[in-house]
Amino acid sequence: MPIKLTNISKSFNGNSSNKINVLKKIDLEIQDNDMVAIMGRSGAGKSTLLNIIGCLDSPDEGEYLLDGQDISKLSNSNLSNLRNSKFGFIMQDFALIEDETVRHNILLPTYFSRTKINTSCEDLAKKLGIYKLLDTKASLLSGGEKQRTAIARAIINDSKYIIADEPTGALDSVNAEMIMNIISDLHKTGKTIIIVTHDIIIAEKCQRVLTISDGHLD
Amino acid sequence: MKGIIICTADLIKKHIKQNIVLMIQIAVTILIFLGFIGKLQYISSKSDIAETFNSSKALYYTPFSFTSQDITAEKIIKDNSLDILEIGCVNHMVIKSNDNLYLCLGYNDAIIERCNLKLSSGKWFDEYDKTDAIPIISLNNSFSLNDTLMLEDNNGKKYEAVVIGSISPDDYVIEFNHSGNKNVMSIEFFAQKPQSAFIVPYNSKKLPTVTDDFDHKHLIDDSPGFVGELLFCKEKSDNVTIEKAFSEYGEITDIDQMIENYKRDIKFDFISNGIILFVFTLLTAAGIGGINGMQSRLDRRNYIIYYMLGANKKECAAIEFLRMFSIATTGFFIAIFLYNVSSIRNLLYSSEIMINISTFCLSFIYILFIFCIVSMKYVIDLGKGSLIDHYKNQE
Repeated sequence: MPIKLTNISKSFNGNSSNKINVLKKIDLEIQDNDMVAIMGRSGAGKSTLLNIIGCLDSPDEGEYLLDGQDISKLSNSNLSNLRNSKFGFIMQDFALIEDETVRHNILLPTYFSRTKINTSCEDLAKKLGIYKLLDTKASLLSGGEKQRTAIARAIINDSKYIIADEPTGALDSVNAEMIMNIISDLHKTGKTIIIVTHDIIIAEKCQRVLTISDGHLD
Repeated sequence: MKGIIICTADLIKKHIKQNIVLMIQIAVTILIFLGFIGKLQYISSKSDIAETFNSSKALYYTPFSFTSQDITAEKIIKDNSLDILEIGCVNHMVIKSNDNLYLCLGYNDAIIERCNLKLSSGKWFDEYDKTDAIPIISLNNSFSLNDTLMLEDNNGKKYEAVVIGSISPDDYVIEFNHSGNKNVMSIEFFAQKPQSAFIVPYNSKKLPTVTDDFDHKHLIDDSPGFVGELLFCKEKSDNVTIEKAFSEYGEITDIDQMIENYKRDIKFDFISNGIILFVFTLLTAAGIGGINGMQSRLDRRNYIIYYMLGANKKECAAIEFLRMFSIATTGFFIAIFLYNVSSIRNLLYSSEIMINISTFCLSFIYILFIFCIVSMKYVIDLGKGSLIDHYKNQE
């Protein structure tokens, strides 16, 4: 099982009286080349779950096996390597370095990679229709162009898993559809996609839809 | 490593205008800090002078009329049958060597034996064991260790001299000055920054035989007149009689009293300058630290993106430290450049400031320390909990 979460719990504010249990004993299995949508109201714990799956955060309790490897036993450095090699992130606010060029943003993961990257930045940019923008600053791009840059960055390391947190949340309907088409194309190439979304139309494009409410996954 | 360098360059470029202002602020801070530290170093170096006469039962005599050659200590001792062990004399002379004239100081045996001057290299006269050359101590880097000179008297007779030690221009030599009354007389009156080329034994009975032949009277006397002498006594109890006899002709003060006066002055100088330095340190730390901290906060989003894309927390910390180190180092080099512009240096620093490599190092460490405190706090904050939480809190 590529991704297997067992009894995962996560809370915030530690032992204080304001302690919030965001995730309560969650079990989740995701197969290779799955396309999963995670839905739920604001504050339900969708992003926290996504952060744990993407190795950006660690659970308080439970077991997380990624490709058979127990994540809780990995050092900070190994987790970083894992993030770099296996995950590509697409965020609602694009998470681009605004003062830098599109090229620089796309190449960022390669600077932290421990292995040689064979994917060409130019080829990716051509595929995603941002080739002419390679030397343009990210701050000068439209929302759709920014998200395509973020997608190029997410796949430059040939990552197996694409984690998308509200990828169309900041886009108009035309750009949202274009981005979803790109994500669907990535899925067709064999990548495993995990999307957090509020949008039922986007969720319907996925193979599986999971709903999270009150810390539990339905 | 590539990622660390590229991301550091990104962050510096991102706030380039603020960074230029910060570098200039660092350079100006270092220049001011150099002044304060230089002053404290100068004061601190002067405290060594007090050690020069430690454990000597001595009195300093300076006549009311310092041009009179008649009222020397020797005459007063003889007239009053006083029991004084030795008289310490310092003579100003001009000595000819290889057709050049050199200002120099002549120390008699009492000064040579009882004063411990700080040497930057070589040895003092009392450790010199050869007999075939006059030993000299180089001042102001005029000569190198083991250099030989041919000293010449007015009859044209030549004497070989060898440099056996050296005193740095930043340290002190003993010279006597005409000075005020007991309450203000300080050991500092004896200590001068070296103005002469070297020190030579004067009328020494204990140094090589060649020194005895060296006829100082044939050399040009550059002394402004008799200004003072040090009287070394057998016992401290002798002081009352001696002071009474000398007080008719001039001021006479116990060395211990002068050391006490001196230490009081030094302490006051040190505390007053220390307080100013402390306040300045706090203000600059708040200013530079504040700007650096602000930049670190503004850069937080970048760090979270780097982290998300595969940088670990150590790499994030390395980027932060490299960023901070680059800015601090550039500011430091700007300060060195400005320091070497003589008009700026003369404008900022008086002669009573001692600046050397260690002063610069101290200033650099101080700037790094301010940066480190701010950056360290930031890096520790990054380590607590999830970077993504920080990101979201910021959003």
